[in-house]
Amino acid sequence: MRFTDKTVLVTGGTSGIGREASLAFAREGARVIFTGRDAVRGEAVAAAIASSAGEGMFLQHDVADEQSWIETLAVIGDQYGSLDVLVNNAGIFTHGPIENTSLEDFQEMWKTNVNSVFLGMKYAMPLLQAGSGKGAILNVSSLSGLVGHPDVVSYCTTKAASIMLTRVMAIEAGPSVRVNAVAPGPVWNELLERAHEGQNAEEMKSYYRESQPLKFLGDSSDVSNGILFLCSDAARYITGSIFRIDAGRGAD
Amino acid sequence: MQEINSNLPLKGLVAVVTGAAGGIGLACAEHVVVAGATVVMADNDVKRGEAAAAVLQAKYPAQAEFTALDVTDEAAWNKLMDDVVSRHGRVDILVNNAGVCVPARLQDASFEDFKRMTSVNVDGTFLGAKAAILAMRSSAAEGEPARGAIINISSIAGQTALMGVGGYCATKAAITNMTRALAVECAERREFIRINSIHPGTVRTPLTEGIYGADYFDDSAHFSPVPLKDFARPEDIAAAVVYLASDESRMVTGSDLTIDGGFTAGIAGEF
Repeated sequence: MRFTDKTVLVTGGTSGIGREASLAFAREGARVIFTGRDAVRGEAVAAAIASSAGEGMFLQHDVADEQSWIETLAVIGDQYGSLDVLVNNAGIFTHGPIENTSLEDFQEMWKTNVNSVFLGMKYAMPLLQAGSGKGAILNVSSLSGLVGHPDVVSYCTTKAASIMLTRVMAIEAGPSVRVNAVAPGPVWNELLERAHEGQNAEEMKSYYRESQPLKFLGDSSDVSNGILFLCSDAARYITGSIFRIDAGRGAD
Repeated sequence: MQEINSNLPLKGLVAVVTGAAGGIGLACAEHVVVAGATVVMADNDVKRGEAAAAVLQAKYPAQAEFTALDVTDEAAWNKLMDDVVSRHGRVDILVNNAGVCVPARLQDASFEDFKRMTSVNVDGTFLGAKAAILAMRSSAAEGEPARGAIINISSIAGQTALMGVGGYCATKAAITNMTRALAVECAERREFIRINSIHPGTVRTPLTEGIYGADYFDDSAHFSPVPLKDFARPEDIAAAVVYLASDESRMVTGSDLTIDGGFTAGIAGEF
């Protein structure tokens, strides 16, 4: 149990990688606060954590909204007094060539994918510093923050921004708080399945699997495993690192 | 999703660790043993290597053994892998850790020293990876893809320039990109031999104490430019080796993991 007595906040915790990470932190002994916009899905995850005797609490939270961050962290501060781990996972994905992308679309993605990371680190830092002196922030970026993809201009740009936020904050937040990012390639989960709604799921899985060097299409647990490693004491000397979990996509 | 035994993530596996007589290599050997693997500790220093292996054997009987190895000797690598496969039936993990550093500015470095680093750091990693990949293929079950994990210990000197160790930088950069090339080669053959690199910053080991002097690590001023204000211990690298060797990282190949306390994240200090 790597996270016994640790308090962990995961944003976007009601589906996909965030849901998987929330369940995994709870299995490893953490008190998990996971947030999202969808209360129905949130309660379902809370029930899943409770059924395996874990400790979890759902908070409705809009990561793009400054006031919502202040309120979320006030609840955590009142209830727990400090925070050990923040996972900035919430994010959105859309695509399209730049001529079809409006400035409003671009700004909307920036709010959810970048402002959220900025606000989370800004407002969680006092609680992280109030903890054990060994806090950790993990930002879920993307391989798309390291390499460009055609017709994905907004997403790639926001994920590159989250990588630089990670590096700068690693320097600012040390030595008491570590800041790292994972850069996942595609994983098969309900989000990717929904993105390909109406298409043949097996064909889409095969497409993703065959389009990467390692002919293995992972799921949310593969990213969650990396998140937990980087947030654990085993990674106590790792900060400012950007770690690809991408089946070799970014290597060639 | 496959079940992962978080206490013994490497249970039943066979690992080879080079440069295992001390420092990072010894910590890697101990960590993979604690994670459930049997380790073959290889080093060219027989006396230190046997002593290190004896300590592990006393704590974990039948899980550690020592073998003499010059990583620059291709025939020795083939003999080692043949021997491991014949006695243990398989090779699952190789940690290419053996390395040397002769500090000097490139303009002052002797060609002899440069070639020495190239030989151990680059040739040694190439020969180890080649021998391990062939062994992993030979011990794969009939009709099944080869499986395994190779972890190359590079350095932050393989990602960025460090003053005063130019030759070392060149050899470690070679390891960084050799890792990616090998990862893609194996993956495109539909194999599950994953190959990743680790990039430590300053780790306190016999090698670095030899370069800087042991007193260096007692003066915290040397680590003020490091965001975590400290140096790494060998176990900080070994913990990452266990993660990269286990199925927890089954989707990770061709990746580089920097473990440097934030030293290369940017330019520390006031703007």
